[in-house]
Amino acid sequence: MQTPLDVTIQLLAQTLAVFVFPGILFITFLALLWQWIDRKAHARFQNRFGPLHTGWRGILQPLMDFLKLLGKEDLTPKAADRKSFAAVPVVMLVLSLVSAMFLPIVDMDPGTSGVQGILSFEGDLVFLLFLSTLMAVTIVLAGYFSSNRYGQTGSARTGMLLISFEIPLILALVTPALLIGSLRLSIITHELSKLSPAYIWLMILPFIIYVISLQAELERIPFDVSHAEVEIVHGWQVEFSGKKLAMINLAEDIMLVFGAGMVTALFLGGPLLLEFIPIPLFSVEFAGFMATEWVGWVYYTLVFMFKSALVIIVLSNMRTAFARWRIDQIVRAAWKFMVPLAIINLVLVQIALTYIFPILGVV
Amino acid sequence: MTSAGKRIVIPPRVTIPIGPQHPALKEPGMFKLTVEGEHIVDAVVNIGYNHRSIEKIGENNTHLQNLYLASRICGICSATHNGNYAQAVEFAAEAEIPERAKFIRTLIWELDRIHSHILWLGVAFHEVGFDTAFMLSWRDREIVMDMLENISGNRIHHDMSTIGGVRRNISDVQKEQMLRGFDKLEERMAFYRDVAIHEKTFWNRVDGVGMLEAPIAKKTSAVGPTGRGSGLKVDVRFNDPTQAYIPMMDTGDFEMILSDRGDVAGRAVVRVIETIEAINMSRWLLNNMPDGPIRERVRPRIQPNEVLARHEAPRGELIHYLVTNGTNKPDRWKVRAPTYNNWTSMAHCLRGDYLADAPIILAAIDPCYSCTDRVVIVDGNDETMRLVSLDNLRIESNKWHKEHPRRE
Repeated sequence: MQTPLDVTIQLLAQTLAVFVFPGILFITFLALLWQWIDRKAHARFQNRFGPLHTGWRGILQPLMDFLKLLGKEDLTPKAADRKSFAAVPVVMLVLSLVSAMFLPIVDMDPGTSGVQGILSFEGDLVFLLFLSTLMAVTIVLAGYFSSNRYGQTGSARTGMLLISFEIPLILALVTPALLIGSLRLSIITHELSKLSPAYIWLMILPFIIYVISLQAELERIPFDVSHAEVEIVHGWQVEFSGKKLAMINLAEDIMLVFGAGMVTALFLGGPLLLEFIPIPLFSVEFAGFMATEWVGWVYYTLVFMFKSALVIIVLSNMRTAFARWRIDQIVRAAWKFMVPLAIINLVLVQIALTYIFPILGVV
Repeated sequence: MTSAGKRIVIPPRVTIPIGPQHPALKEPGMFKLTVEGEHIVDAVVNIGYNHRSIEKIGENNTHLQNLYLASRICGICSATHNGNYAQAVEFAAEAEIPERAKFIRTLIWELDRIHSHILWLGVAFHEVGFDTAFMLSWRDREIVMDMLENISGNRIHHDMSTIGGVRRNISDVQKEQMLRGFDKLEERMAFYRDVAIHEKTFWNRVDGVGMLEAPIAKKTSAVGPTGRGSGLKVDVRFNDPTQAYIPMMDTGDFEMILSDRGDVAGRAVVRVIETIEAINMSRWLLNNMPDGPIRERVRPRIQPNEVLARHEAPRGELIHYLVTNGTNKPDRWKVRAPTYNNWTSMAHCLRGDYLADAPIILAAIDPCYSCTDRVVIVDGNDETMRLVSLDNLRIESNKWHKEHPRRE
């Protein structure tokens, strides 16, 4: 029997989880931190220093940029569709925050095994893919709402880019779901960590496909045709300024958190690190300790951040190593190379599961 | 127009302006691109945003003052304007300058070419979104910038040439430092050549883009790397050598860099290999530099004469036309910068390519707007054009402002 006090405490705890940790505040913190790591790594790869002056090695620079943009003049073009134009940044921010809440950072539901996100239900993987497609549609509409020629060109390019790369992205995510037989993010993460190490071989190809598609989804070099600043002046973002631009930038950073978090959760073993060492001290006792105690909250968070940061560095390395592709080259590469590769990968996984693994005796 | 006469095009034709202010352009210029989706179907080039009336100012200055004014025509190829003006005045005075001065002047020109070409390479990398190579190549450009600062005292406006010679000598210590620098630079340039040719994402962006076939290049009188990238043998250093280029070409060790590709890739390759060739030329100049004085006195009053001085600037053939009248000031001074010639082929290059290729095609001729721009008054009603001198412009503008007083 629950007393009103219990209900109040539970409600407060849930509110705290949504708004502070691991909810909106924490995700925003991660977004700004990831932006700093990305900028710093990108700069160091280019033999530059990157942010240097605000805070320790410029660590507060993303926050300063955000705050400064909030104070800038906010203009709406006369030709723009005013209400829709104003709605775009809010919609983008909400979509990205909701997506990021599915990330299994710490255990929000001790009743079920494994690490849960704030939001978690059966089939949430499909819902996440739906959200990311919705994000793409919002971006396409954002360019058209602004009634700018650069914006419209940028929108058309975004549309083509996202249509091309959504499919390999989805197909790459199917592999872990297929191995486990579930569409729930937390269950996939939890069960994957229990599988035999032989399954790593099946995860390499989807991992590569997913990281490349993620780079395209986030519209970063070499896929940043939709806001190529020397061609179409940041494309669909061109008319956004002030608060709206700040929110769009934050939403993009949160999408980065979400993308890196998905890689961590689905391909890199989620918030588990030392548990993978095959010694009973780690794999049984340490894992059990972490799963039940409050220390797990700190430990899981740190491991998640560590792995995500590695993914961010891989992504910034990709950003450094290539020139920008042209849209026709990207679409051709996507349909001639990435999509067939993703389908072949699925076929290979099926063959391995049905024929090869039983012969080798992998459980 | 009746509705039957309308042609419906899917995707719709949109005119996208690039410029006058645009991130792809470092200086103001206007390019109206009509695009169907991503394809450019028509291009209109409109320049003339940066008139500074340098030629008119030059007519009121003495020749010595004009040397320094000439180098301010362009920030990147300042040595070429400065040296070519000095050369023009010497031609008019029929003065012969010392051998060592010729070598030093040529050396400055070649160093200028090296730094200009590396700068272009960085800009080209930036225009296709390859910022890493942009940052790295500009870092290595500092080697040659330091060299220029070492021998002339300035990074950009060297002003080394003066009438009758050069202003500063090169010591043996400086020579050794420069030779060491050239080794480093040559190694880095070989690296960038390999990056430009073997990095697929870059090569795919320039391969077959902005085609300028040799007959059209000839018809539109393309000069410099733009012409040589289309296989035209246009290089004043080889066709009509002056200064220390004469003994240098007599050795026969150097050859004109040509490419018959005709696209942006051809122009890029020509520039990169030309940089390596320029390093070899500079090395030859340093090693074979004769001893002697560096300056010959030339009387400030130049006899009446009419001369045309040609020089191969980094962007192509640069012409200084000078009329002297027996005083220490020029009667008429006309600068024809290489970019002016290369504009003509621009619309042809842009047509038929992708919108995404427009920045790199524009950058491929290495445009220098401030070298080029002149005042042309275009009458919007009957589409006539006329050139206007500064005095008349001032009179006309005073008249206009009198007729159109400011609204209170």
